[in-house]
Amino acid sequence: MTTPLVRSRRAFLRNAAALSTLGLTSRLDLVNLVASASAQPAPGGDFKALVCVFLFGGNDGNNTVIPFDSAGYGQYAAVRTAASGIQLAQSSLLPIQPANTGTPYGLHPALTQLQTLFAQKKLALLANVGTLLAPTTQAQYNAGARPLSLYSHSDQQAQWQSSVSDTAAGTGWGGRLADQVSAYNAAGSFPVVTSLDGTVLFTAGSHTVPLTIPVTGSFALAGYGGGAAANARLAALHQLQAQSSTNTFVQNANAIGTQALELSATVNPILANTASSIAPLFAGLTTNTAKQLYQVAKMIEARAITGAQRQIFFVQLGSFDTHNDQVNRQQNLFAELDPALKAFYDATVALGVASQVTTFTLSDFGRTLQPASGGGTDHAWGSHHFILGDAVNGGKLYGQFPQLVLGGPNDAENEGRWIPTTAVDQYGATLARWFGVASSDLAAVFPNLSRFPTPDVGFMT
Amino acid sequence: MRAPAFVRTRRALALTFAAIAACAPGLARAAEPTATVVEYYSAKLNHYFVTAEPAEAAMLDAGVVVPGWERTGVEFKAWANAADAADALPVCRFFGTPGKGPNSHFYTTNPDECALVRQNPGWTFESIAFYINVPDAAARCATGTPVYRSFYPGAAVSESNHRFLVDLTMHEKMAANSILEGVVMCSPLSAGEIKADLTRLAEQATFGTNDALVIHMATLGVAGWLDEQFTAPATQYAAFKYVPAGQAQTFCPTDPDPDCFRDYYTLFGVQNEFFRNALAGGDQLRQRVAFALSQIMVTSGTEIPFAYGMARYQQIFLDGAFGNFEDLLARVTLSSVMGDYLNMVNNDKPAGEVAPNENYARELMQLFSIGVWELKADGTRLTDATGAAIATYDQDAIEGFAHVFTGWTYPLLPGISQRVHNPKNFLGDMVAVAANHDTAAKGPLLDGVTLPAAQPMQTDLAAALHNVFMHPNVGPFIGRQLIQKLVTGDPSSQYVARVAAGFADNGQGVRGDLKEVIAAVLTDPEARGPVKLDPGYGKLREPVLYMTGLSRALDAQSDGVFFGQQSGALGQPLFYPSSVFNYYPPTYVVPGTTRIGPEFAIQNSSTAINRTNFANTLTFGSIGPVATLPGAIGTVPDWSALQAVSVDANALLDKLDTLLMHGTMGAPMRAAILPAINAIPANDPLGRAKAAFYLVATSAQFQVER
Repeated sequence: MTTPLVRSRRAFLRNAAALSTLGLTSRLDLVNLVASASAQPAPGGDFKALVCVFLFGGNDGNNTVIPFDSAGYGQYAAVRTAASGIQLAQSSLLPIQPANTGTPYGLHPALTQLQTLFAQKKLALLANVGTLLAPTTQAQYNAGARPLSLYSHSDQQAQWQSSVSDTAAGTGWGGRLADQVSAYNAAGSFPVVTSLDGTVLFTAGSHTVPLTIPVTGSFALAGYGGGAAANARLAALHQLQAQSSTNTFVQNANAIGTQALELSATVNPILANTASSIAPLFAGLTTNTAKQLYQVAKMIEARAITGAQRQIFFVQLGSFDTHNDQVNRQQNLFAELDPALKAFYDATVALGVASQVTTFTLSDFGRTLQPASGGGTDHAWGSHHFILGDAVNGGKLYGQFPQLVLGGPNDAENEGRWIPTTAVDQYGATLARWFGVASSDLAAVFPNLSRFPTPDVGFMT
Repeated sequence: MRAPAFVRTRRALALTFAAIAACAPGLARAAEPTATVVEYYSAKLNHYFVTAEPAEAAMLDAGVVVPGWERTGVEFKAWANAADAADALPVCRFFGTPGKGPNSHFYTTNPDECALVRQNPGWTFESIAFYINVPDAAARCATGTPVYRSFYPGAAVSESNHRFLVDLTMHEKMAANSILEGVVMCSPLSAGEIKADLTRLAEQATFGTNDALVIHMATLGVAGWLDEQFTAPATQYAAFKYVPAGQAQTFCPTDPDPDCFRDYYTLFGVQNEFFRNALAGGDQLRQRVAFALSQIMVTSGTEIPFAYGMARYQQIFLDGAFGNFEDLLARVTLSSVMGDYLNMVNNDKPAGEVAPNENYARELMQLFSIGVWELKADGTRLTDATGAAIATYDQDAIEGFAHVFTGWTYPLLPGISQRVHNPKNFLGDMVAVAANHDTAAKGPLLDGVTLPAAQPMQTDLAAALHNVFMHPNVGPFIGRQLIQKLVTGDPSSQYVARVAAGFADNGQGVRGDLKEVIAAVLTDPEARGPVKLDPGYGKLREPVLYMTGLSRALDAQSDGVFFGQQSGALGQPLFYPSSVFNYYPPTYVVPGTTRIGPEFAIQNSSTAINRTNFANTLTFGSIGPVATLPGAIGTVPDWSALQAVSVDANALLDKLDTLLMHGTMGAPMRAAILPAINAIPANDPLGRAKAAFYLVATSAQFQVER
């Protein structure tokens, strides 16, 4: 049984050293690989990376970006009353003035670095983006036009990651994007996608398989210090991994294990490098998010070693499902996210790739404007997101900011569940075009893109 | 509905094993099968063929005289001679008369049919192919395992063909282009096959197999062993000390335990106890089912890192593993740990702009009971007239349940008077505060049910949970996940239907009897059998079971610490899943395939390396005790059994094949491991044993249980 996973695993074997070590790949496989590689667009000589930071649980956009003018803030405070326990005082907000809006906005008080980056035009905001079948009005929503299992964590995570809301997709748009650009990495045969969170749907492509690296700790195979016995054992380990099986699960477990063994020798020294030039930028940051982004920065720093010219990284921060105690929880989460993003951005500057690396956030959904018992909020729909990097047309707010009125023109129900005015498809396609995907190939990554008025929201240069 | 017939089948199967064990204690058997029926397939003809003649098999294997036939791997046992078994019947073998009948063979045990076909010019009688037992009038096998026959009609008579399978999963899949004809023979099992199947049962129903367990199972038989396990008293978690939430900084300096934070403000001790019990506890099946249920009704140490609270929560599943599902739902719902985790605790009745919290209402339905789509009894989705799936509930239903779940608060702490919001603690179930309960009518809940206004809040709660429990999805939704956790990741809809039937009615008119459900999962023909060849059968051993399985095979003595430490590196940080969606979802599709393989959601290059390194440490490392833990012993495997046979590399592989892989190791795997054993001199039997064990443990062939 030849699964795509297996084909991809064999792609790693194109490396001559790996071939001589294992001696397993048939000439037929190489012929197939060359054929598939030649079908790809010609590789460019540049380097670009996309870094997806997924905020698992559904970040409350309504307390992330708040209208700062008195009318707008007044609408917010009329619903999120002081008594509700989830109101952010206007005086605590960090004001920003988008270059393309008449009124100012306030960022959550923990986002101090993002406030500065916004003012420096390195950061853009995309308002009320979400999963959509197609552009949707209230009337259409009421008539049943809505993504499958709207308001469900698992389904909405999947749809944000796949960009497909009308069926359960088997691949994610990060993976399909990788499929499109995989030829860029042919020289090094390094995977396009590197995940810090395993093979989530976002990372799964049709014919590319992500590498997963650890957030901390070793990526090295232990127990092989040399000697005839150990060498014989290592040879047997490789041989067992290469044995085909009629069982799908065995076959795939072997493919994953083979990929791990083949790449650990390259990747582990990169991750273990304590003398990295960007290490000081992450000094003192002990959070999981900072550790993940530090690993990403080290991989980018080592791009000459990996040979990767196109990379997509998946980083995650969880616990955004703030059904209760939201003010404290979101404060703590943003206090983790904000300095980590800043350190990572600074690392890209230090590495001279700030205009070649774009970082962006995704999340399950937004949360109800209406407070829920316990000082929290419930699952909603459209929300606001950040895009960071020197290639970003920063300092602006893209999309349409919703009216913060329960049952108002943007509300799908009566609790402040915003019907998105920009689709995930458009958000992703804007990034994909910058990443090097031709307009004609965007549909292969975002199959429903043509349902929306524009494939480019405009936040990338 | 065929489910009842299959339920009878599985009961008959269980009886069969009991009968075998009763008349032949241990693994001994009076008469070993004397023939092996081997299946071949011709891609050119799209035909299957079986033979029990070694000479004919050798001829086909050589591929010279009659080329184009390949072994499928399917084999089953039979008798070579009439005298080998008292009740066996001869199997008449026919070949389609060229130009008149099908270009294929036909086999029958029915004397009348044999005589009839002999008269048919379209068929030519060839021989008595073998002898085999037959099912009774109700298609049950009194002895042996059922052989199922399917008929492929083909476009023309010459293309028609029968297939004979002992693997029900494969047989059911033949329905794609064939007619399933049911049980036609009963294949005798060899002692080795019976042992292999018991080993598989031990893998499915315990935290790992070993020699002593399989011998014990053989003594009791499948049904007897299940009865023993159903009545074994539940392991009890220790009563960890109560500590005040959020006050570690002030509490711990006053506590005599220098590791107060680790011991009471993390789940370190609960993890250790879990693994000690998993390795050594006598109530293996109960613990295994409890672990499965705890991954369906999830709470996490990320929010509730208090040992005393999480131990109490996990105890719910040990106590309720074989009880009624409705009771379990009630226990979980009222648990203060779940209340805290999903915000039912201190959920206030509506007040001003603040609405009742929807969290528990949503996840109770989505994850703990019915899922988001209406299901048929076989677990596949119902569809409407347009072919679209049908949602089980809408936002209104969630809000209805959210209103039901108002008014509950933490249990009363000694010495503190009752409040609307009691101080956070997990010393018991949540308690009712009627004044904080929404007294308006509630609903619609599921199936249009509404609850009248002004009911006592306990009445509201019981009615709402009963509304959920009675939804037809619960059996297939929960049954399917229990199959996935215990047996196979992508079960057939038929298997799900049989288990769901057990959920709907335990045979005594009771719905939701988990004992019946577990028995249905484990005695189903798709669970049992010595070998499973369907390409989609089985599951990747989840990290916890991977670790305990290897350790139990080595009879390791352990304080549990090592496994708790390693569980996170392997992707399953015990009792710390990242969300209520568990360590991995039951719907995960293995990338690049259409197969559901839930555990693959946490199998990636990083965790794959860590699995290999775990095996390395367990095998070659020294896992000493943690100095600060009283009574710690570390983890110490016992290598004596493997070491005793390791001078002979083949004997060592035989032993590992039986112990870890129920006889599925296969020649290529043995050939790969053999040089690594022989690279170590015979005067180092421990080194040889370890090298071989490590290679089996790290292989995908072992890590995928099937």
